[in-house]
Amino acid sequence: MIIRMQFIGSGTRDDPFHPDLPSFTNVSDAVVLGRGFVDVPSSDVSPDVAAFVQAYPTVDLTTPLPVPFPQSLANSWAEHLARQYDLGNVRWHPVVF
Amino acid sequence: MKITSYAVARPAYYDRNAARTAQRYAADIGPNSFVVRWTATIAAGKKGFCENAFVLFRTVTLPTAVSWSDVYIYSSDGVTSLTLANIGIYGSTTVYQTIQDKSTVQLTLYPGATLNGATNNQNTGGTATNVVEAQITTFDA
Repeated sequence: MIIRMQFIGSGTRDDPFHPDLPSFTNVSDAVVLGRGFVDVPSSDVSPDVAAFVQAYPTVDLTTPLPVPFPQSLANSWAEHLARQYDLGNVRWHPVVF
Repeated sequence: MKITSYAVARPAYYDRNAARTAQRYAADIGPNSFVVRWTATIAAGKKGFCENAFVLFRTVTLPTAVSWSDVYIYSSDGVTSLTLANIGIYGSTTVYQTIQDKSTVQLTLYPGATLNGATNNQNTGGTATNVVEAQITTFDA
């Protein structure tokens, strides 16, 4: 599922720009804006986040979402990923832009 | 004589709920900071083999000022980072460059390990084809 994501990182070799996800493929990006379109495995996207992404389609890397990505969905997605990978204390906190 | 044993051979890894993940980034892009183009993480209860890792850098349009460019694939377990394939090339304002590298090993990825493909281009101006690709087979540990 292709999702417009906020990136983290500082653009150095030790801390490159990337979305905060365990598995993804970069489709296109604008790192100066800190975001990009990312292909995320469907199994890694919780149903409520998938519904949100489908409800608010995005066509470019600049136009803001009509509503900000809710914190409740951010928490839901983080919990979904933690369950999916089950790697102890390892956590991801991806953010839809 | 009757021979009995409780030992049962495990199926080969590719018969243990194996799944193929092909990660690929290929684009003509201009100068860019260090960017992770893809990542694959091995979940609990799984292992993975990185069966192929390939990187390529090719000039499309010449830069106006030159510096280093990198295209590389590396694994990380959160502590140690290992490079599987790497290009580090200093640019040219006059010569079109092509360089590639391929991993020669089959790296085993344990739960929690990541495989990452990344690029960096510190030139000024110009564009280059960047290819960063790998195949991982994950299976029940």
